[in-house]
Amino acid sequence: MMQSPSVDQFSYLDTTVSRLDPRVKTMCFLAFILCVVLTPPDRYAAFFLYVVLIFSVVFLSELPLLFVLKRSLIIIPFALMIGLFNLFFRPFSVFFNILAKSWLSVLALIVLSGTTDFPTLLKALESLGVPKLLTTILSFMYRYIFTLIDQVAKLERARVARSYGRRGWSQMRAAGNILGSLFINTFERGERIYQAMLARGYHGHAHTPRRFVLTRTDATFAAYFTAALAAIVWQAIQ
Amino acid sequence: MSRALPAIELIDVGFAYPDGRIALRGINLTVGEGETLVIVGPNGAGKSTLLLALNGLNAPRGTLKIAGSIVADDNLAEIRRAVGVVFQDPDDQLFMPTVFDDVAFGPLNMGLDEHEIRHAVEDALGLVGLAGFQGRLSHHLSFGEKKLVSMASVLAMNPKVLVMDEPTANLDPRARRHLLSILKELPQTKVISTHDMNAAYVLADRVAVIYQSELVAIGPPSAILTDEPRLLEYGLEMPTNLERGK
Ligand SMILES: Nc1ncnc2c1ncn2[C@@H]1O[C@H](COP(=O)(O)OP(=O)(O)OP(=O)(O)O)[C@@H](O)[C@H]1O
Ligand SMILES: [Mg+2]
Repeated sequence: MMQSPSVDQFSYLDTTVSRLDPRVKTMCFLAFILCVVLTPPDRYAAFFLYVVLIFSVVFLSELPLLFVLKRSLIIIPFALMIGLFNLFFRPFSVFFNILAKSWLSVLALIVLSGTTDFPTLLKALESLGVPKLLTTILSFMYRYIFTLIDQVAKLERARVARSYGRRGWSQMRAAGNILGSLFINTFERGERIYQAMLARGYHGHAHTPRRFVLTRTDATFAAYFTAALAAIVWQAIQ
Repeated sequence: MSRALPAIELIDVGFAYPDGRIALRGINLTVGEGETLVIVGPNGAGKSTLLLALNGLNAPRGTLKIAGSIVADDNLAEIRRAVGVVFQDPDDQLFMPTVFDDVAFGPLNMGLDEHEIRHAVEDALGLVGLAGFQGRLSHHLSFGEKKLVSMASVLAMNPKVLVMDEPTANLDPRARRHLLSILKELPQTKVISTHDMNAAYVLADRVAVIYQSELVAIGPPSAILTDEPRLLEYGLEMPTNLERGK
């Protein structure tokens, strides 16, 4: 019944990109997003090169192209709305700007999350200085989100089983109760988890063992990627 | 069962939940070093409450001694190192994203270095027959596997006393047998609560019956678990493998 998480469903792929040190990947893609965002809107050639760059990484990563494209469409409605709104007042380049930049940024994030399993990504963020509190919250979320979804599904099924096909407003009270019992369940589970943590010697802060090691591939990837990025930026500011 | 130093000693232990519900009353109990004590009793009798007390997770009235030292606020860290608890619901116990992180959680808190931690994790997973599970995601494991990883996460701390709340609940027959055989092999002092009378019969050196917050009977399984009228009175029943005359 447990559903499989889609956050990192392709992280089992064993490719050059997925083997890269997650810190290197995170930094490279962050730099990529930064460059994309700072590129003046009318440098169409630069944007074309960004697309080429990110898709060569997609190619290296062996992520299914269709998956990447589908995923990246998520951003389109939002970007389109903001973009269209701007189209009334500003030139076309602003519209293109919003669309292209958000799409490229999302592509970078998809490649990052698609080639790194979530726990590793969190560790990388941690070693890059993201506060422990934040990564801990995210790791609990990752661990329990599906347990929670399952619980909602069970409660909902129990409601349907006893509501004799009635729907609509009369069921609002039931919905409220489901929310309530979900809250209590979650709260009490939190207590029990905390007890389980105490039982295993937790005293306020968790330690992390895994340390990452930079390899030559990491250095090579970082060098090529930043060189390409620099070239595009150079071309754009000319 | 006369052993030199009792691993666990409870003297007149009582406990009431904050809402006033009395869960334990006047419990006197001694568990010898290396002994397996199985606690049986109907739902709501107070078994889980008692097990939590053994790890200092709730503060009961009365005196509770682990390996001779009285459980108090200032030695909780040592007590928790000595007593490992496996909870009833493995989803409460496995709170880290990967199996490795989960099993390593205890050893990390004990301050072991990285090398020792890898070893502890490997050994513990090996003990429960899940060697090589380090990289698996906790939420993708089957219930039985979760249960075993929960056990490994406690075994990795190498506790002197192993406390388990309903270890065989919700397991399929093969997983249950696997778990029982592991439990039989482990040398630690064990306190196990269960509704599984057959498991109780197989595992126990002694069986304790808790009924309505009180300890009402304690003795070897051959005495306690064969007394059908009394078991029925406490809402329990005889092990089926005895009924069938095995
Ligand atoms: N957090 C709590 N707050 C208030 N009362 C509680 C709490 N937890 C348990 N109780 C009550 O304390 C009593 C003993 O509960 P406990 O969980 O120890 O029983 P148990 O023997 O483990 O039962 P089961 O076999 O169902 O697991 C029960 O009456 C229960 O309702
Ligand atoms: Mg219980």
